[in-house]
Amino acid sequence: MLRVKSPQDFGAGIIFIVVGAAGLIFGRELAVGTASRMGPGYFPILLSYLIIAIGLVVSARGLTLEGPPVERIHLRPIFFVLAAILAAGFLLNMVGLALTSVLVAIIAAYARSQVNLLETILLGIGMGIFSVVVFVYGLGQPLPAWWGN
Amino acid sequence: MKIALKSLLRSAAPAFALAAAIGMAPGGAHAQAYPNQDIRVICAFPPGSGADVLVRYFAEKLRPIVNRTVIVDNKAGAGGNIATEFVARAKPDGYTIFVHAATAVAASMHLYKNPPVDVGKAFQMAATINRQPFMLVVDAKSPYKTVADLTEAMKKKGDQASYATAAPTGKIMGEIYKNVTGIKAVEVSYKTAPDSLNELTSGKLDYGMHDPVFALAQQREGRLRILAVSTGKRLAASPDLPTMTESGIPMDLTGWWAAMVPAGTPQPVIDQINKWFVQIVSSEETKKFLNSFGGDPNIMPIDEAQKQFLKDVKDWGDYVKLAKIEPQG
Amino acid sequence: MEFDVIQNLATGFTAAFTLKNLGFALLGCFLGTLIGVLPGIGPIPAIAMLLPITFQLEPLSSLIMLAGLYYGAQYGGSTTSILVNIPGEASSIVTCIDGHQMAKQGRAGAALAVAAIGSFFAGCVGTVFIAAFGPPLSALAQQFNSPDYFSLMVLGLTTAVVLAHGSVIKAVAMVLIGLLLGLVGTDTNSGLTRYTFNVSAIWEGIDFLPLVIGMFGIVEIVRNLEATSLPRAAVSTRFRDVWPTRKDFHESWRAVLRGTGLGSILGILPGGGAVLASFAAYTVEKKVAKDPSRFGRGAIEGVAGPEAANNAAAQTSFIPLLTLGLPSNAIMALMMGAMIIQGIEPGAAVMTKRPDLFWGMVASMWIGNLMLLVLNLPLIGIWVKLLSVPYRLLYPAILMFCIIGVYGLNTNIAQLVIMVIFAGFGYLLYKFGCEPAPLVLGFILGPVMEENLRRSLVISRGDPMVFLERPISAVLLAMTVGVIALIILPQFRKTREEAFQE
Repeated sequence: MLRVKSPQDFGAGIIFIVVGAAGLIFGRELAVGTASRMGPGYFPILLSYLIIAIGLVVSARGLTLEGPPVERIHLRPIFFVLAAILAAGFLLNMVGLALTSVLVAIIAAYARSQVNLLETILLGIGMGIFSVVVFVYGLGQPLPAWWGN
Repeated sequence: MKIALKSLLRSAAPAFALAAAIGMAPGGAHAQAYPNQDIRVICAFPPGSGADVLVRYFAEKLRPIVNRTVIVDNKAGAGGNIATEFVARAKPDGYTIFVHAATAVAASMHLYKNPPVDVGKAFQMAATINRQPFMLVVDAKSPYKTVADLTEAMKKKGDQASYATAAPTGKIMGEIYKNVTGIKAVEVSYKTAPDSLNELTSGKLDYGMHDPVFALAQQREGRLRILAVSTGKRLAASPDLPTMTESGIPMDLTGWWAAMVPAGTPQPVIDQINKWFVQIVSSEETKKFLNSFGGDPNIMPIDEAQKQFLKDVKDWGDYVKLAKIEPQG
Repeated sequence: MEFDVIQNLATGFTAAFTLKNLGFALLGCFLGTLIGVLPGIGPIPAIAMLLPITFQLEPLSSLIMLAGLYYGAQYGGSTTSILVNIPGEASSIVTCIDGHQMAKQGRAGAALAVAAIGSFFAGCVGTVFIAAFGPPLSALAQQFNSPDYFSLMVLGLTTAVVLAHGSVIKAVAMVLIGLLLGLVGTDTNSGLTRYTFNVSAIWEGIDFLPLVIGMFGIVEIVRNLEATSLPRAAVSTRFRDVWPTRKDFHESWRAVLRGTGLGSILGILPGGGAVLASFAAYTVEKKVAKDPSRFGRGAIEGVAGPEAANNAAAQTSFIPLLTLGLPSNAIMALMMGAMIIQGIEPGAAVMTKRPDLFWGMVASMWIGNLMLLVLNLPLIGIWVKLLSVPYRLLYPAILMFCIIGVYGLNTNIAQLVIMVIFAGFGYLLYKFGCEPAPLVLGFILGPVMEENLRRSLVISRGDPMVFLERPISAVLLAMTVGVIALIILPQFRKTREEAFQE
């Protein structure tokens, strides 16, 4: 029975293989051409094979050589941070920069387990004022300040 | 809330008009009504690129005339399609003005598999800005002084000849040239014209089809020689340069910039925008500025500009087929 | 010749050295630093945002303020890299590696001071370089044809592997993934789109900012939040602790010299040259160090060398613009735009027609560097103090600036989605022990490399010998072989030692 001796290497190898395979699958319609007259597919397909090859070596190494374990993945921080970014994208044009700042502050705060809502809202208001003054009024960036457009 | 306020304003509009009619409002009612909020000038290039400078120049000049904040909004990407789509979908109220090459907007219909909008229907020309050529350039050290010299040499060189392009207009110019003369030069594509300079001057490439900003600057620096321009008529900015047509290769590839608004913008607003741009374009300073980009200032009546735009949309379909450009998407 | 240089610089300084111009230089530097220091707003957006301010001024003042903005924004970017590990442009990725480690050890002040002093020194040398060797150097840059660029990129990518302090083979894979990502978008040679999935936002390729902010900035925030206790560096703002020690100076002056030399030369090459400068400087420092294992753990040479190289290259990348009228990177394109608005068309003609302007501009670069030093040494205390703000208050603000910076690219939500995707990808890679820096270098250089490879072969009609026949290309490839040997040999030695131990 195979045992994963270095989970970090094994996992990295798998990621490489997946990336390389994606490169091959999504690039399958690109013309490869020849070495002296390369098509748009030549370089990406070559890269994809190389990445897969390294992926195989690295994951094989993960099975044979001892290595560090994978750090625990905490879902909470990454989830709320990414959610805050996406929310901002959808909200900016609808509710404007000021309100978006407050909402980003609130969503981002939940990336931690202890949330002080009052402090967070105050921080969000501060961020909103700063962003609007600096980016919209100071630098004339094309961002809606209030309420969107 | 916002909608309610707007409809309230709309229902109040006749009252304002009445007030204006009986002389309560100073000045014309329309001049009062537009512009009453910030104007957004859309630029299809990233900040700082050569074309962005052109857009910003007009935004700068617009500011004191309209007396409102004029924001330049860079919607770069997808060969200008992101900006084109954004403007086409914007409210036709005159607060979103697209300052861009009308030729490029027309060409987008044929350069992409799924053009985002039917540009002929979606856009209204509000004012024209300039007309500019593409240029046939050779190494300044080369013996070719005219297009005829070049053609003769290229015929001898056969498929060993090479030339540079960096934009769809250059590709098309190159194809027309090859089609008419029957030479067999191989095209080498570059991302930008400056990238091709070293190979043009080291003799690896025989000629290039390039934009006027690059071509003029390098001719001034003594590195390249311009043999001909792609426009149907000679340019006032460089009257000494012959056209390709004069050299026996008939073509009229004229790039022209315009201020465009979404179709459906009220006529008085279009007229107002036209008046502003005519004022800017007709100034001596703007002439000098546009000349530095290798083009002439160009003032056309609105309906003629619209006609030209529709003709360009049609012509580019033929060009793209001729140059065998594969539509993207 | 030498007399000319002095005379020319004198002309420039007489034109530039007025109280008013110095004021604009200081103001430009100040604004540039303030905006550039905001995490997520790299130097390019910072300069683009501030550019319109200079339009109102007369040409020389405007150029001087522009130079101030430029150096200010760049140094602001380095500050962010050191303090919060968020690079705003490719060259500060290297600064992050050791600079942020220093900050974590409570030595942010020393890192910032060395960066400022190193940059100033490199800036001075770069200015003299432009004045003395501008035209002959640009002639050298003009010798570069497609095969030479391809070989230069091969060399650059090989050095990228040295950036990683972990596994070499993983670093190679990361470079290759970066290359693949760099190919997304329209292929210059055929005009076809690759890997775009009909998403118009990536037709012209994935933008640098969402990729790098996602993989570095956002991942950094998440990493900090995962730590059991939020980071709060032991911060002291006493002068003694902010200022580098004698040992620091002793360790870094050679690095500054080497970085300046490398940067000055690489900066001249259009297209990727300046980006390579800081990477190459880091590689050199790591290779000449007695104890390379210190790198990645807060080695001061790892900050001093690349920062000096970066600034020297920032300086000399003006050479192609000023002598050939060719902007060699995005920032130079911005500068060219600003000059055209002022009615100056960059090129050798400026030098002969408006010597006061040309040499004034060269002088203004030096003034900009001086202002940077004057302004930033006292500010270091304040920047360091920022680290004492509790992280729970700091990270939402950092996140918001990253969002504004990326969204502001073209006010398109697609950019934020791309950032989220790369943040997720970067997080996964981090968990599996892969470092993002080599990927980013591959991402930047990849398209240049492929384009020039294929173009070389089109022009040579398919003959691969062009890469060896051209002297420049041959030398670069020979250097690549040398670098590979340097990478592989210690690796061999180590595995052999390990084998013997068993």
